[in-house]
Order: sequence, then structure tokens, then C-alpha cells
Amino acid sequence: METDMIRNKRKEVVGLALLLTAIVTAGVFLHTADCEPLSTAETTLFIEANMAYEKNDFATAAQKYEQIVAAGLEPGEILYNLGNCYFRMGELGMSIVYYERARTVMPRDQNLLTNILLADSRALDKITPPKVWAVARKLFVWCRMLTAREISLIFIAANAAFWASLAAFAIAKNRFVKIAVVLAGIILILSGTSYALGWTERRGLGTAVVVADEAEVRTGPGNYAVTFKLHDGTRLKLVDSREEWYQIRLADGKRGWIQTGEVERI
Amino acid sequence: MARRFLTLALLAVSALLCANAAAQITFTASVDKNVVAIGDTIVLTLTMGGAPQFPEPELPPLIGFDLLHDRATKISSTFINGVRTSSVARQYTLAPREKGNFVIGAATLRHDGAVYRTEPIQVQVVTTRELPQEVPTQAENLFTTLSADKDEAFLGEQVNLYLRLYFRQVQPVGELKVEGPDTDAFVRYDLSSRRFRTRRDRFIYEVVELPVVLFPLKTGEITIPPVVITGQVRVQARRRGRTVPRGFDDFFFDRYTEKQYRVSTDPVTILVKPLPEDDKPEDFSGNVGSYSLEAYAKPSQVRVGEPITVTMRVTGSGNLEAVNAPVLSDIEHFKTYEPEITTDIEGKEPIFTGQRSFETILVPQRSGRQVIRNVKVNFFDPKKEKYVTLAKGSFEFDVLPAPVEPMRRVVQVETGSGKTEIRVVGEDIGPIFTEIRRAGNVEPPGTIAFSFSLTVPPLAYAMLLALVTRKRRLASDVAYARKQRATRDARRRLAAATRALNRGEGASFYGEVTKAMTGFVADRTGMPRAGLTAGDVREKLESAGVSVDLVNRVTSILEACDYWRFAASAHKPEEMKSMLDSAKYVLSELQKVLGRPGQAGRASRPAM
Repeated sequence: METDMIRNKRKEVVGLALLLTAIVTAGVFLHTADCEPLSTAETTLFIEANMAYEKNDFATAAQKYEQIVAAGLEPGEILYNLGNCYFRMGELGMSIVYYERARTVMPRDQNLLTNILLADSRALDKITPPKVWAVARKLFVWCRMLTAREISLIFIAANAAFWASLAAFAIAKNRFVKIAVVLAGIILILSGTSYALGWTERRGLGTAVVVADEAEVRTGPGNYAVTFKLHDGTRLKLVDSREEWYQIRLADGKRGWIQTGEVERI
Repeated sequence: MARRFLTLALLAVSALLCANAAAQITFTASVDKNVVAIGDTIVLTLTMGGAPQFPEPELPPLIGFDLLHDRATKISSTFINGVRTSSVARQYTLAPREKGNFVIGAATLRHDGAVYRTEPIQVQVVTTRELPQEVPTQAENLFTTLSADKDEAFLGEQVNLYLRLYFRQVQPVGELKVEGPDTDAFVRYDLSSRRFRTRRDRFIYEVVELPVVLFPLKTGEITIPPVVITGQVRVQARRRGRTVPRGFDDFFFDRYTEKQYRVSTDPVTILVKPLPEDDKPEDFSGNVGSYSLEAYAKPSQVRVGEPITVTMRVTGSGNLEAVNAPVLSDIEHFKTYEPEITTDIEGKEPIFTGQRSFETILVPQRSGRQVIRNVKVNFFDPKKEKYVTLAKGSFEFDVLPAPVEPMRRVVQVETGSGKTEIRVVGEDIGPIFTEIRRAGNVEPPGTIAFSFSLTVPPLAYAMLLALVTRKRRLASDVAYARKQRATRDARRRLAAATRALNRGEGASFYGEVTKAMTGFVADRTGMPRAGLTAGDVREKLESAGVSVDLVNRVTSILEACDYWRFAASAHKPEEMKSMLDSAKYVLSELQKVLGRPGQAGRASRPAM
């Protein structure tokens, strides 16, 4: 009888080990190599761009940073530096675009977050979103502090933890395991919602920033009546596109059509 | 007797006269005046007498007149010398269309099969000036004028147009309907109406004035067509002389009556002159008026990228809403934005005055001493008939380089308690990165990897759950556990029998074969293993529906085993091997018939 119990315990352990193996396998499967480091030529460009920036030659600095980006490398630092160049050149919209692109790589960098706040405060158009959106934004503020990959991994880990704790509960029904199931479930729901929001954002046209000094927003794509005007640095959501026009929506719900050349997608 | 005869005769004559009067239908037409001015109206009255009720009379074609108003029928009755007479009258208000002599034709009345016609009426239509001065007319009591304060104006120069309604002895009631003025060739501003009293010719009039401010948009002789005003007036009732019997003074029962009116103005022509080409500035903005310019910019010290607000204010008279923004010179090193424009009009008439402000933002793009030479505005002054250019400036800015280092500078400010409080005095972006600190992958996992990672844990959980459930049943349900183990135990016994065969241990071999057979049957049928004989096995298998042939083979193997286990003669290995094969076959057949727990009737052939 005792031998049977030992055998059963072994099976449980084997089961859990299998589960753990599955999780580890998934983790290993998801693990991919880091970004390629800068080549010698790109490093030289980077240093030259930094020097140009320090000499207040922001146009040259921006040109060199953009050469690095054009090579397919988009480290957050270079995107951030590009944002600084455009900010110094007075191109507020382009600076916000690059700051936001940098945020996707290094969302918790304090300098970057401060710069974004400062650039936003310089925008001429003040748009007040409805209160409900402000509350939702605060509720999911942590999403903006994580990269898309980090949110995905948290979601995967929360999913594995939930099922593992549920499996543990099937074997040993005690209070601690039950708490673990509930906690893992809450994290799974939150991370799943965050992932879904990010996925929806990536799947659509996304967001953009006005880069023209002044852009007319019309009631339709073409020679329609101008309903309002937006200025450099205003953020907007892209809803639809038609030839040379984007349909846009502002945070306060206003809608209209704007020429594609007057905005830059983040 | 003679007196009685005379009385009767008089009564008879009166009755005859009365009857005759009742039978005589009268139908007449009249107008309130035969000479009427353009803009005035006449009242045509059709009077029907001799019967208490009449059908609607038919009006003749009205040549030269517009029918403005068709009044309700008025019925009056009176007694003359004890005889009751009644009349029905209908009134029509007519407005003459043009000057000339016109005839209002005969109106027709059909009554009791008879047709009655009125006499035609001659009416002369004249202009207001042609009216005899001695005779007061309605045109003198109510008329309208349209006038401009100037006959000539430059393009863009203010012209004031006044539409006035003059009235005396009548009182306009209700809403005025004003058609015009048609001013397509002008920028137009309608001002509030006003009311005043004024003397004109020999009369004092009440005047309602509608002023309109115009700014010509095109040159040439521009004619503003006549304005037509229609509405209602309250008129003091006129009383006829005593010679007319009261009963026929039928339409003026009240002291006041309301009348429809329609008055029109003469057209107004304005000659709009083009702006002179002489001395016209090359960069002329198109502004017309008389203005002054005020401009200032602040702050004077900024960093590259920081905004400078330039305020330009144009003050004076002219069409301020159309004043174009002053021009900033030498701004190639600044980024400029569209100005925010506000216009404050202080007065509009007799001349537009006020100010128009332009607030624009300049963002310096280059450090150093930056100078905006001037802010300039030009305009044509129609009073002086010359072009004027005003300039303000220069504006100098000390543009500091944009900071490379972070500029979130703080200063310590002394407070009364001896401690200092921190006050932020400047804000700027953070410094650039001089090295690449991170190179991690930030892309979310691909769809396949992501789906795999999400589906593996629930699948593993499902497998584990199935395993745990089975294990728990094995531990709690003995019969289920025996059934589950039957095949495995039988396989072990047969393996032990094979080993005994190899060692040549006959008794042990047959013993293991017997245990394998009886144990399998006992486990699968739920019987105790101990003391199970070949007879018990036969009985149980037969009751389980196993075929007779198979039952015979099982029992024959068991009986043979019993025999050879205790036989004195030596065992032949070939016979033992044959028995072992036979036992394996029988067990596999039994497994098919008895099945596995939860898999009744499902055939499987274990490798025994």
C-alpha cells in the first residue's frame, strides 16, 4: 500500500515536471536573439551625429541618426536622439513621433518620459479627452511602462502560472493553492486585456502626429468643407485611409479627413 | 270718410313703393380716389343693395393694378321713413403698377337669374411729385426713400445706405416686409433700425430708418434696385358730410381702420472708382481705409526653439474685417505660424472704426542676434486719395543656443524660517544618449510561438487532470483496480512461467500458468482469487457468455496444468512450450470477450 502511494506521488511529480517542461519549452521557444549591435560604420555615424548635436548642428545630427535608422537598426537611444534633434529644430510633431517610437523600445526611461511631456505641452492644440478615457488610461498606465514583448511574456507566464496553479489545486486542494489560482487568474485577465489592446493598436493604422505647421481637417477625403484645423504636434488616431487621405479621430471624439503628408505615423 | 280713404290710399302707395324697392337690385362700383400715386393704393368698393344676400361679385380683369387685399364683406341696414334698406359691400385694395390712365372695367353680379354690371371707373396713376399739392394723399402720409451718403466711392470705401419709411396720420402695425436692397456687388453689414421724427417739406413725419453699410467689391456704375416695403397701417377713419345718410356711411364705423400698403423707393446708383495706379506699392495688400499700426514682440531673449509672440494691432476706420495681416520682414531664420486674429468694431456708422489684432508666434531656428527689420502694413486712404505705408520696428532678439545639457535648473530661495524652498525656473528636454545601452529584442513573439505558448499549459493541465482522476479511482475502487491490473498480472505470471520453462522447473511452470489463467478470470469477473477451481472458472465464464469452445479450452488448460503439476513423469519442454502458447492465446481471446473496464466489447490483443 505504501509502495502504491509512493508510486502515485512519483506520477504527480512527473505530471508537474511535464507541465514545467512545457512552460520552459515555451519560454525557450520564445527566446530570440537580441538586436544586432551597431557595425563600425554605424558607430562612427552615431559618434559624428552626437558631435554635430553638441555643436548645435541639429540638421546634420538628425541626418546621420536617420542613416543609422535607415540601415534597419532602431535602438531606442537613436530614436530618442532623433526626437531631440527635431525638438531643437522646432519640428515638434516629428520630435513627438521619434520620442514615441523610442518609447516602444525603452518605455521606462525617465529622460524620454520627461521629453514627451515637455513636447506635448508645447503643442498648440489642447484636446481634452472624455473623463471615462482618462480613467481607463490611468487604470492601464502600467501598459505604457512595458514593451509589447514584455506584455506578451507576462501574458504567457500568467497563463502558464494559472494552469499550473489550477493543476496544483487538482492535486492538493488547500487554501494557499486556491489563493495562487485567484491571483494568477487576475494577472492573466489584466495581462490578456493589455495584450489585446496592444494587438488591436498594432493591427490597425495606429496613431499619428501632425507634422505640418497647420493642417486642415475636412469632412471628407478631397475638396470637402474644412471643419477645423490642427497644428504641429497634435496626436491623433488613424481610423481609415483612402488614397492621399487619412480619416482621423481626436481624443475628444472629433473626426475628419486629413492629407497623409501632413501627419506622420508613430 | 274722405280722411279714411286718403289714409288707406297713402298706405297702399307706401306698400307699393316698398314692394318695388325690395324688388330693385342695385349694384355699383366706386373707388376712394381717382388719382393715385405710384406706391399708394386705392380701394375699390362694390356695393350691392336690394336683397339680404348676394353671391360673390366677379371682378373685371385688373389692367395696370395688383390686387393686394380682398376685404371681408360688410353688411349694413337702416330704416328710412320706416322702410328697411340693406346693402352689402366688398372692398378690394389695388396697387398701381405703372404711371398712366387706366380703366377698372365693369364688375359682374349674378342674382336670381339676372346679370348686373357696374359702370367702368377711370383712374389716373401719377408719380408722387405729380400729385396736386393741395390735396392730401396717402402717398404723402406714407412713403419710403432709399439714399446713399455718397454718389461716388473708391473700391473698398465705405458707403452708407439709408432706407427710410416716412409716415404721418397713419401708424404702421405688425411686421414690415422689406424686399431689398439688392447689394450683391458690396460687402454688406446691416445695422440696427432706429426711429425718429423729422420735418420734410411742410409736414412732420415719424421715420423708421434701416441703415446699411456697404463696401464696394467691384468698380463701375452700380445700381441698387428699388426697395419695396409692404405691411399694414392703422388709419384714422374719415367722416363724410351729413348730406349722406348715416346708413350709407358704412365702411367707417370705427375711428381707426387697418389698411394694407405697398410702397417702393427709387433706385440708387453709385459710381465705384478703381484704386489709382499711381504710387501704388508693389506689395499693396488691398486694405482700404485710414489706419494706424502698433506692434510689439516678446520676449526679447529666447533660446532656439522657444516661441516669441508678436502682436500687431491695426486701428482706424475702414472695413476692418477685411484688413490683411501686416508683413514681417527678415524672418527666414524663424519658423512662423498662422496668426490668431481678433477684430473689435467700436462703431460702424457713419464710419467703421475699431481695431484688428494679429498675434503670431515666431520660433527662432538659429542662435545669435536676430533682427526683424520691421512690421509693415499699407493701405489706400480714400479721404486723402493716396497710398500710405506704415512700419514699426525694428525688433531685436537675443537668441541663445538650445541647451545640450538638461536645463531643469532649480534655484534655492530663502524663506522666512531660514530653510529654502526649491523653485523650478526652467524646463528643457533631456540630454542625448552618447552610447547604446540596450540592444534587446522588443518585438512581441510571432503568432505560432505565441499560440504554442498559450495552448501548451491548458493541454498539460488536461492530461494531468486525467492522470490524477485515474490514479484516484485505482486507489479507491478495488474492483476497478483489479480489472485494470488483470492483464498486467497475467502477463507477469506468463513471464514467470517462461522463466520456469527455461529453467526446466515443470511444477513451477504449470503453477504460474494456472495462476495466470485463474487470476485473470477472477480479476475480470470480480471473484476472489483464492481457491478458484477449474469448475468455478467454467461456471463463471459460461455465465459471462463466453463461448463453449473457449470455456472448454480454458478448463482443459487448467486441468492439464493440475495434472502435470503433480505428475510423476518428466515434463517435455515442447509440451510445456505448447501449453504456454495455448495459454497466451486463450488469455488474449478471453480479454476480447471480457474486455477492459470502461471498454466493454472493445477488442485488443495484448502482447502476452
